[in-house]
Amino acid sequence: MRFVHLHTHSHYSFMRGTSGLEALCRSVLHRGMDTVALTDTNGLYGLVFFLQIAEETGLRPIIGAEVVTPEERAVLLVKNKEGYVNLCRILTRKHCEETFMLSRDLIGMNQGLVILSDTLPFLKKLKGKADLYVELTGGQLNRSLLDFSKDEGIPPVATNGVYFLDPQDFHFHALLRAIDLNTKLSRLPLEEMAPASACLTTPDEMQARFPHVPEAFENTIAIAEKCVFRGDFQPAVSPDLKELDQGKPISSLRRKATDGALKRYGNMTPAVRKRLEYELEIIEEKGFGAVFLMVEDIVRQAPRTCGRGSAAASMVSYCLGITHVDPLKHNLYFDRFLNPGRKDPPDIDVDFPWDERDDILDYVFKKYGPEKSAMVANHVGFRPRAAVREVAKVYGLADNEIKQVTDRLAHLWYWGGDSVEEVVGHHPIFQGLRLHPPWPEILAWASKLLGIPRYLSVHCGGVVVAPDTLNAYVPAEKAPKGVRIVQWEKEQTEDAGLVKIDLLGNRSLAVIRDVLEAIRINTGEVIAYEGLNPLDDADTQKIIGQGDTLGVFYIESPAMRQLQKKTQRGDFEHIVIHSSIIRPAANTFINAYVRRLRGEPYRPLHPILDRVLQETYGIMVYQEDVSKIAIEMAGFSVVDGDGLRKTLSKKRNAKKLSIYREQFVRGCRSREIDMEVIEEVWKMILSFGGYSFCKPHSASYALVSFKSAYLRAHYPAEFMAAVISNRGGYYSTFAYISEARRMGLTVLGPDINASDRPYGGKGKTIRMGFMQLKGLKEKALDTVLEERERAGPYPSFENFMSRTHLDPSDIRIFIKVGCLDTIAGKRSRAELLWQTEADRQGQPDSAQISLSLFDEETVRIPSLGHYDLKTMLLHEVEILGFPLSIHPLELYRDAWETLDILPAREMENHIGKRVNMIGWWVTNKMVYTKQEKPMAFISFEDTTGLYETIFFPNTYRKYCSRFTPVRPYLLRGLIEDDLGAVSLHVEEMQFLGKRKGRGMVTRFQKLEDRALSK
Amino acid sequence: MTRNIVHLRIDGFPVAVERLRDASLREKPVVVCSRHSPRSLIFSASREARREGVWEGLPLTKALRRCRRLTVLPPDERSYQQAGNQIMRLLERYSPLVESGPWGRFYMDMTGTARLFGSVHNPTFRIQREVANAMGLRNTLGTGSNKLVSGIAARVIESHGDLYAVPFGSEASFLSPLRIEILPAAHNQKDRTLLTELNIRWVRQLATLSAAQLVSVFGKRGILLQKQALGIDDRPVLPAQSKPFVLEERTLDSDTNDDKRLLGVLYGMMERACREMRIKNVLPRTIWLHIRYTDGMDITRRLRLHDPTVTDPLLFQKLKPLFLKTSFRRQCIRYLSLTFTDLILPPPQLSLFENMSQHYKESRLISALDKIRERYGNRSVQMGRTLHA
Repeated sequence: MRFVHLHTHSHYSFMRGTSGLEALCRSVLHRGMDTVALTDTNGLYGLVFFLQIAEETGLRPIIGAEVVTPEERAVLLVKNKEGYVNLCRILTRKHCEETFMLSRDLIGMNQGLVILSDTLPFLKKLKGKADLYVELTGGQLNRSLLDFSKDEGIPPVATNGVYFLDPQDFHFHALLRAIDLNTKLSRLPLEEMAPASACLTTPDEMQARFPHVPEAFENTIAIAEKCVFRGDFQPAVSPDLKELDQGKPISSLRRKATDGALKRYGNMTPAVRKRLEYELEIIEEKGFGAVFLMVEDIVRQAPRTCGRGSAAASMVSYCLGITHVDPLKHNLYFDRFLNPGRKDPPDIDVDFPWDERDDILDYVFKKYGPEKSAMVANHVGFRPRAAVREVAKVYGLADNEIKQVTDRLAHLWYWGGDSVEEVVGHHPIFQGLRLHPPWPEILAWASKLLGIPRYLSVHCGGVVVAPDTLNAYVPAEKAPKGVRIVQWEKEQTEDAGLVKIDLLGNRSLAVIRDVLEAIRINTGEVIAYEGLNPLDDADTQKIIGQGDTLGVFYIESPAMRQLQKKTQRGDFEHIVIHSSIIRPAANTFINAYVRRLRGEPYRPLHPILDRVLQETYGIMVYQEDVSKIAIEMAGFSVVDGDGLRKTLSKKRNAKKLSIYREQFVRGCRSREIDMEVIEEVWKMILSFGGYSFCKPHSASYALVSFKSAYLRAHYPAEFMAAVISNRGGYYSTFAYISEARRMGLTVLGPDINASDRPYGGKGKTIRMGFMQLKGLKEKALDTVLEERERAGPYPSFENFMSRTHLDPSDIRIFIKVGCLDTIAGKRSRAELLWQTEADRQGQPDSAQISLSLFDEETVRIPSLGHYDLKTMLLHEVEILGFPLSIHPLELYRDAWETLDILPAREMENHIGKRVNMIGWWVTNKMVYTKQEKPMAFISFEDTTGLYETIFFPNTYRKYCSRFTPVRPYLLRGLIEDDLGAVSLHVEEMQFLGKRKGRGMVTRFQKLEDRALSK
Repeated sequence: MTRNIVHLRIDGFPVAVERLRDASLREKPVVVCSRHSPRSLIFSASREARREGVWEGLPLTKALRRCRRLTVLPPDERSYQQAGNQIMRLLERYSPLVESGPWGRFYMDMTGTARLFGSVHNPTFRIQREVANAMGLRNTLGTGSNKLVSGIAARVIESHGDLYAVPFGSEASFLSPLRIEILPAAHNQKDRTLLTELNIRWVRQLATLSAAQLVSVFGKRGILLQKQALGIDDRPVLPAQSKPFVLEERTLDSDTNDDKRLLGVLYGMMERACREMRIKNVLPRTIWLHIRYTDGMDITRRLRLHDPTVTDPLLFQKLKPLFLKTSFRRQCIRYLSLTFTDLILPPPQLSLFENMSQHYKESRLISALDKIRERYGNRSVQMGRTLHA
């Protein structure tokens, strides 16, 4: 007996379906069926994955969706290609058009679709105009539906509206609904839930539910046989591009590339010509010319860009100005980017200054129109913190109790795929936290929630452009921000063969732009972005080699700076290596790398490795090393080598990977390579899982690193000001300000006449910008700046007040942070505040008692004196987010003054000694040891310098639950020198002083919490 | 005429009352806190507990971590009320004007009693002794010409068993060295922030400012600030006036947000209240529903009844929507109370037409239940919905 489920939801029916696609497909097979229709609510969100999994498991997939509007509801199943296009169109309309009405829109667009519904008016409207069925769900004895089916002659079909796999999953479904509707389980309206019977039933069970309408049961098979479309996307996109290409594109690409080459190289050397010809040939053969032209056109809209990814290996991109690193000079292989065997379109990704990117996107959408272009989506899934928080809220726990758990989770940036229960149960950071019922239940549910998608958001830069209409490939929606997005995230978009370009925001490009502009204003010197190629500048190389690179693009993290200190190399070639070797899974290789670089002799695992990895000391550094080694050691073809590399970076890869592994082992064995060596090399290959970089990408980025390091070395004030103003670096604003001071710069507070919106830097000083003032209304700031622009600086407080007419709450901010000190005359900040408040009360509508009650002349401003230091600092923390007048550690001076403290700048002279140090938290990074034990690298600063510490597993276990970024630390431990990088191996940790200045600490804490949750 | 106001203050009143019952609790860190949930907040703490860093409002789990030998007692509001009443009766022997504030705070107006008891010091010492000896409650006393000054006087005394008398005329100089937070007028968070920002931290600073100046910045509240800074307070001592009401309250054994269970609890509470009202032969015109959530947030909603009833199912029809409306948050509920006020006598004649048959049936059922319960006890017969409540 056969039966096909034609109405099935996966967890891509957001917050309704509970099951992942893999589990769903396997359960269908397990229950004795060989076909299933995936009909997620209002979308094809998981379609590409579904088709892939179906292929892997041998299941016959039917493509479909359930379209739900307040009035109507229907399941649409795709019979053929035309039906697929129609389904995409219907779904796009559903999401993008307010006037959408399913029955009306379907009339012209139902070709190739099977329609199941139980909405009677809907069925009546479409009767005779479409391939229509009456849907009988769950076997309910719905006489009226059945009668309707008979009377109208519309055949019935049996479904179960599946939302979960097993009956007991109903609770999970209810939980999802409660989270989605922001309510509690006991108040969940019945109509918002699927019935408890909506599980994946077996054919027998279904038959038992429909004893009275055998034809409804049989019709499922008939429908399944009609639906033959399997979504053969692969050839769907490229041929059209090829058509485009057969006309002009390749010739105009050739022309532009040649022009560009002349500009870049001056004259055409044979090597350049040969490479260019080779690349153009492949591009022509593949029909990707149009893609290059499209990107070239986009890049031309902005003067400062940085090509990322493998595209930097292409001389065509270099000549077109898409990338800026010479692939010949730096030995970048084109094959990694495009090779004759590659079928899918190449990735060409470009970075723009973060604040110019939206304009670029607008340009693209304007040029190609909403029909052809959209952005890639993100499927935002539950992460541990949100999962715990949401479940706990459904359980009705108080916020502060939930925070106890979620705040600790926030510290764990690295999540090893464990369940929430395991982590909370075993990780030392949860030590001492007693979790009473119902917590165990909550954590168990939270574990189940991990990874389940919740909603769509906009991918940070992925743009899809289709040759004809995008709707023929994928449904689109409107994101809350207003842009159109496709329903797939990056991986599915790529797998479906759509042309995707990443246009990403990059803060450092904006930093460079702002510094160059500041230099022009301050010194009159004009430096062009393209002309800035300081690869050989001695000062730049020096600071890079010393790791003095806070604020410098891409090489500012503690790990990177430690690596720089160990290697002492500041030349371009090494920076390219270093930007690639720093990746999560490569820790063990880094130290080997440093030792080899310092000349330690080593024995290569295999001579082939040594040959292939010559420039990186026999260590696999770049992504393409994986392909190269597979080719050289195991005889992979170029296509297979590339396939292996690609598979490593994908999430669902276990199966494919095991096939590649077999192929690899077989290939190596045939070359008589030892099994031990094979295992070692395979382990190295696996370390490229997650994210890793290719050499062209690193080279492209390293160039930007050099530009920004050059500016840091020669224009420190302008540079640091721009770094802070553009935000979003690795460190907090406070850390950059401390660094600026260590660089010998003076950081001045904001001033009403001297400050601008961003930070300003000149000579030896940095002037804080108004952007730092939290709570200040944007409009108020505009007024102040415009008025100053119009009629010059404000000479006095009265003048300021009368010219700007600001809201008192904004004036208060200016006063409290000292912006108005220079125009206050003899008055203190408190007295200015008094005057502001008095003015406010004096306004007729705000006070019931008018001043006329009293003799007006007697109302004079009392003398209130100046704030004490503590109040001033409190105000600074409140408004700026950190104390500016003094270092926070100074507040605790009496607690550490009498102790024997080693200042950070003298660490190098005390290697091997046990010392006490004080510290203010800068940043941290938690990692796992080989034994899967957590430990942490934490950067602290004292008043003399920034320093690194290591908390090994034992110390980490002891102290991690007390880590906080806002208290002063007293650390005791051993100073060690690891290949030139000095750090403190902490043995004991405590806090300095009592919780003095508690108000400040808590306010600081709130700010930091927000920063952490970003 | 100069008034003589006495303020009696018993610090940590609930703990003090508990210690009366159990002498072994003395000199130990003790707190009163409902033990049913690890999330409970400390309601009252003894001095010994405070010394260990345990204060009112701290979550119990944290308190236990700070002080392992902490004794935790469940709150027994009835006996605190009784103790309070006892003190009231004692104080009423000295003056007809006695006002009971929050737990353990009492004001009495002794104006014009000098002929009876001698100067004000005489009776105050006696009161203090009586409360301390007869009732065993250590206390502090403040006297002054008004409630503000006497209240602050009792508060600033360091040790128990002391008395602080602020002589008439020295109110301002008594207050001037104190921080402004001591003034009730500065308790408003907004004003307190503004005062700090204006660099005004001490009462003496406030006292130097004129009313006009303060009004120019604080508006109407400036007058109150200035008065209080000078120790002026005209509020009279108001003896409590009580109106009849019927109250049912319940702190749940474990917090829950399950509507089914909560409605069961509510039904049980309403049943008991209705029975009490049937016995007293009154009908409520107003119902107050008070809910306290796990995080301590309180919500009170009122319902006016146009056709008052004490028939359980009929009243519950009104009460259920009130509950659903009031408990709009997802958070677990810890405490519920139902207060029936505006009690009236039932009209002699039942309405002739309105829902007659149903109403009649329901009330027959309820009176039958009443009879059974009278004979066999409250738990002898129960509505199904209250079984798990």
